[in-house]
Amino acid sequence: MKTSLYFGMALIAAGCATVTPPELTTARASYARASTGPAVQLLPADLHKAKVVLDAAEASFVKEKGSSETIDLAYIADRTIQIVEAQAQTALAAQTVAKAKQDCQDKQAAVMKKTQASLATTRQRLTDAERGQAEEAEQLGVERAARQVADTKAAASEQRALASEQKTIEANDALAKLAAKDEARGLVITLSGAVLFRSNQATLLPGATARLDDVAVALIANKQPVGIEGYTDSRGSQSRNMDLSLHRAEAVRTYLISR
Amino acid sequence: MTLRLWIPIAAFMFQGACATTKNTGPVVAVPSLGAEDSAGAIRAAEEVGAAHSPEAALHLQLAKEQFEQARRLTSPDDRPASTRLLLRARADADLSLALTRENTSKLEAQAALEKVKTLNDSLQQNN
Repeated sequence: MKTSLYFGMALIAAGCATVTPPELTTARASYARASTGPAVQLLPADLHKAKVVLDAAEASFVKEKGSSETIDLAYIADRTIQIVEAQAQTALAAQTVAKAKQDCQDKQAAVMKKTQASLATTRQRLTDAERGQAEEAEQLGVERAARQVADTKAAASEQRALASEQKTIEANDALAKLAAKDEARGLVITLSGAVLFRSNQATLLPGATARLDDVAVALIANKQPVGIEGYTDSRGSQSRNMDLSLHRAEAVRTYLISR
Repeated sequence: MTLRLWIPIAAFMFQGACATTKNTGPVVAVPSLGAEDSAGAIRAAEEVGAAHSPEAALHLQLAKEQFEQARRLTSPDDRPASTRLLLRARADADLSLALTRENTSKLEAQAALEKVKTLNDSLQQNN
């Protein structure tokens, strides 16, 4: 049985001696293509194994030409080569994915770094602006306080000027009322002795204070050294009159100082 | 003769096979290729969505057809032919799986490149 089978196969092989099976032709073409593809670099060992299968198909072809074994070997060799090619393409795609992911990570890291730098710059600018605003506000406060002080001083000065002017007016009125005379030795105010003192006395009469108040106002406004002269009438002794006039002058001085 | 030709193929199809070389040619401890191995490869291709990719779907269909042909060969005399059909089915199923994964990876790569492009465009607009 086996002998007859081998004999029959031999006859078939002899009949197809010069015809290359299309499976083997295809497998050769597949290997030629794979030999110039990425599998050479990426999967050399697998490609070599596929070549060994192809070599087995070639050996079968040499010995048995177009036998079914040769055809099947060539068929499997072609599939094996295509598997290696597909695996190489898969590896290539995986490399592309890995590189793309790395690119994404690098770019995202760069973007993150740039964003953080920009954020830091913005924060610094904000801090500077806030500090500047605080300093400006502080400066404004100082200026406002100084302005208030100046305004207060100006108001006080104006008040004083008005008061001074008022005093001057009052002094001028008092001088006019006292009939003051402008002489070579200065402004001379003469008060009648009968208005200030009783005869032969050095005590100021109650009505004398109103007159002396007018004198005080005029003297304060004038702000000049003051001389006080006391007089008496011609009655009595001279020494008594001298003593009386001195006391009268002192009584006037005492009252004016009290004002 | 037939055994010697199929040994290297089976060795490649099954990781973990341990081969040594003698003067008479490779002697390999080849695990037997059962129908469940090809069926498992077909299921794996289906699970990753091979049916949704035209080229992968084609090889998945080929794998299923060859698997069914192998199952119909029940005679002991048909065992070599059945084994070869199962190997072909396995090869097509594995290719379907590899093509599906390639397709998925390329879509992921395209999406990743689009993301990079979008990010670049965004950066250029901000600069």
